[in-house]
Amino acid sequence: MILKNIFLQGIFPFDGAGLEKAVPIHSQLSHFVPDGVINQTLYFRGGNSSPELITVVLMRDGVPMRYFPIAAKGDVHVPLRVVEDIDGGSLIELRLLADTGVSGSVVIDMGMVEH
Amino acid sequence: MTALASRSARSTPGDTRRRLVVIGNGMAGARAVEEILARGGAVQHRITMFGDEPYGNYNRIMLSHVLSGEEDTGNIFLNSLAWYRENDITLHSGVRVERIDRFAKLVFSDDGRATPYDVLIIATGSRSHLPPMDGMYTPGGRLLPGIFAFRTIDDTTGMVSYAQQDHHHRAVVIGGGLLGLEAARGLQSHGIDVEVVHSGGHLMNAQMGPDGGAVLRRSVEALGIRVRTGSRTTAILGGGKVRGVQLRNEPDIECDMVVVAAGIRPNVEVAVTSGLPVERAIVVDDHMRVPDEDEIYAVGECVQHRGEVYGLVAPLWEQAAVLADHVTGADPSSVYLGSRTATKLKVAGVDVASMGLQAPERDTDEHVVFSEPSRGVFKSIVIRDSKIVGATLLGDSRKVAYLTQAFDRGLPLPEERVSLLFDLGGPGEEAGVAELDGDAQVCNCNGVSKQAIADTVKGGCTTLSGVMDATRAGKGCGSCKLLVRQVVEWAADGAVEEDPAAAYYVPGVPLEKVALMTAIREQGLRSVSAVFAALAPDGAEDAKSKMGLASLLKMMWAGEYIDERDARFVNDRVHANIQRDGTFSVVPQMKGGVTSPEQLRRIADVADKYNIPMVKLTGGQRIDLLGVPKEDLPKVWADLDMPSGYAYGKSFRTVKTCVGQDFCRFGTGDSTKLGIEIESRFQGIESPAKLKLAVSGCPRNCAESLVKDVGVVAVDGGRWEIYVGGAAGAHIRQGDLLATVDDPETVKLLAGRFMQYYRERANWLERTYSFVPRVGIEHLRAVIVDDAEGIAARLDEAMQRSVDSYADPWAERNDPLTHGQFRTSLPLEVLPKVPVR
Repeated sequence: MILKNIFLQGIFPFDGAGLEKAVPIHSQLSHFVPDGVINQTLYFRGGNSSPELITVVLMRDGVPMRYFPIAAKGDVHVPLRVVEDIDGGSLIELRLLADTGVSGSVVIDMGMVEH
Repeated sequence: MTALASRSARSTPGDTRRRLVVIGNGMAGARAVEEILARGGAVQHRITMFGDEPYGNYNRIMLSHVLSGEEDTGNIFLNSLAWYRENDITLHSGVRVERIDRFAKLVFSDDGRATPYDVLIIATGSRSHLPPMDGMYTPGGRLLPGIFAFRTIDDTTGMVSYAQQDHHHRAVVIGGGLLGLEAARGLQSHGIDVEVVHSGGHLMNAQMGPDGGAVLRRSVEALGIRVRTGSRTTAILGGGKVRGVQLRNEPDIECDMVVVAAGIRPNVEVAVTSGLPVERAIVVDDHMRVPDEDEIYAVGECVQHRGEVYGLVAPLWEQAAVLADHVTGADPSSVYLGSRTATKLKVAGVDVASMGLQAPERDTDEHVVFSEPSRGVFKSIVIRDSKIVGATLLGDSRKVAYLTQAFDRGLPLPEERVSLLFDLGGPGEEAGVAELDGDAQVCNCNGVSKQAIADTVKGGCTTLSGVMDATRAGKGCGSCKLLVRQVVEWAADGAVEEDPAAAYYVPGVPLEKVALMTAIREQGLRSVSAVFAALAPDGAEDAKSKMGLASLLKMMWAGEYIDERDARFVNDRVHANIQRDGTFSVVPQMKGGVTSPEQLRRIADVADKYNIPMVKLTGGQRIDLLGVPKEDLPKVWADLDMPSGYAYGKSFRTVKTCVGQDFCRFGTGDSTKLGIEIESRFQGIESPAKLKLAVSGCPRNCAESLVKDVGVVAVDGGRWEIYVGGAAGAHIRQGDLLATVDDPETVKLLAGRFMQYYRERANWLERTYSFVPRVGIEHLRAVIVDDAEGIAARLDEAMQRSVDSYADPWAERNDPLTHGQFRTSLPLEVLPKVPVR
């Protein structure tokens, strides 16, 4: 079996757009799973420089799969033990929920494996 | 509390060995135990194994051969039940472990047992991945009939029997990886029209790039297998059973069966429920130990080591060796650092080898490619810093051994890259073998190195099969046999002995059948032990040869044969057919399927008296009393007071008949009468394999005569047709017409002559459906009907002697030949319970 590791990562500035609608953070934070392979997310790490709670949402084909809330000036590490398979042909994306008026930078490092 | 009680009850006083429990009796679990035993682990450990499947331990790689019919399920077992007994291993087969209590050190299984351990090995392997699709399951939650995974013996036999049903013609295989292509090829051999639907852009996309995939596709399509790539199956069509599959953006495909070969997933439920660290699989360290658990190890496909999960057999052997080093303390410094996987296979008849990268990744990577699609040859090598980092070879695997080694070790490469792919007037294949390092692995299935083979040859073993037996090289998937042969030839310096054993009638006596029979006759050898003493090398007895010899001798000597019980299989020792749960089935003789109220009454009384759990009509028109314990057999026979129906032996069994001219409006001949006469004449004669016969009263063939070993059909004008070599079992074949004759007497004569010829010439266990096409029906007609070889009279006379020496084996009931012949030997172990309806 040949494995390929894929990372969605970087530090991105953001301006809160409300807690109702998850908005894209950056075009780098999306990944299309090619046909014929299986994708599994392995972990999520995140940091938040703003003084308010923010939430990063892992989306599959526009539907939320996991929410990662990050406290004010806080960080999280979520090892995703035994995750479901994401089939080829799906779009994986990270989006953000933050209250209006909140702004800062979010640190993101998500690891995936494809085989 | 109960757990504690059972713990103390189970420990044997005085046995201070540590309790080693293995969850999983597959290739990894059994291999780990073998490695532990090889390091003297039996002295330290009392071993208990749990297996989810109700079988011993078998070679999963061979299932594709079982599917294609090249191999029998019986031949793929790696360790027999005797192996477990000899090594004092308690095996719970058909038992699933549900939970581990890692604090109390107990393993809970679904038979209600709590088994304590000191050391635990998890080797639960993986299972087929069934991607979510609509219509895949019945409302009851089971797979829709006609959908199969391809992972276990049960999957495979299920597929074979489904494929052999007359009205099943088309199959769709979902998944164009290794397993999918093997499944497609296997189904084809059952006459099924196969289409492979693969979601990736090209076949085997995990192992090779698009160019190689395209060449492979051509080779596969040339075999008549249709291939669709880039198409995803979205649903299975059909209400009660499979009718077709639905694809995304493409028209539906109609089919009768669907095989899902879309990869595997590790079995980690036990570990998850028990709170062990699981990511993609059970996490282990370099000692194959589960982190933070001192006494729990894991091995095989259920394991994640340094982020990698392997789905191949070679890494498993390396893991098992490291694990055994630690469990036994043989080498505490031993570590597993991951495997560089190189696969070398035959996929659907095409040689495929792949390792490392499929294509260059960096600008500085070199890429050497050769492609010749019309011959199905594709070779590609990726080189980085003068080292091989990846290679794909299709259709020509001669250079594989060297490339694998160069890839494994990072050997420096020759300046002229093209010599990596071809022999350009340079050293030939043998030199290729000579170049290999001693510890290069030749057989990946069994982890046999070149050195091990060379040492065996130096030790005096100079035949290919001898080396294979001694080292187990080439006994896995078999794809390395050519290389093993080359290494043997190289090591023996050309002094390889041709291996004649393939032609031997039985493995333990180095003679072909005709020569063996001549020697037996000349020396007057009348018992199996006499044959071994006179003809076997050093007079050594060979257990595997006994049954075949016993049958042959009985055929040759008839009444003069000296019977030795140890030469028989249990069925022949007790004259009944052993069943799955260790009981026996008793089938009284019922000539031509004709019985009487008196017989029926007696059978009914016996069934009542001995609480026979099932009374069943057999396919051969007889009554089967199932579930008789061994110790009851003599009493059952005595009360029945009927002769044996030979439902167990390698012998003449039964003659099926239709009602014939007396009752049937169409009958042209008295089939019942002739059937009874044939059965009376030939009852119980020994033969290389079982013989099933039939007589039909007219060409409507109600007795299915065309698919019998010998079948007789009455045709208009009082004439009879004799067919031979038919089968309607694992193989289906219409018999060949041997002769058309005028009267029943000639039928009996020619049938007997054919059977005698078959008894003398056929290989051991060769059914007539193999024998007749091998010898050729024209030849048989010449010998049997026209007496072209002048042996007809001798054949008739030999058959007559066998007929005259008939004795009903059930008469032994009052006078057992050996002490304990009918003593129960149950329970040797927990056997699966056969449901009684």
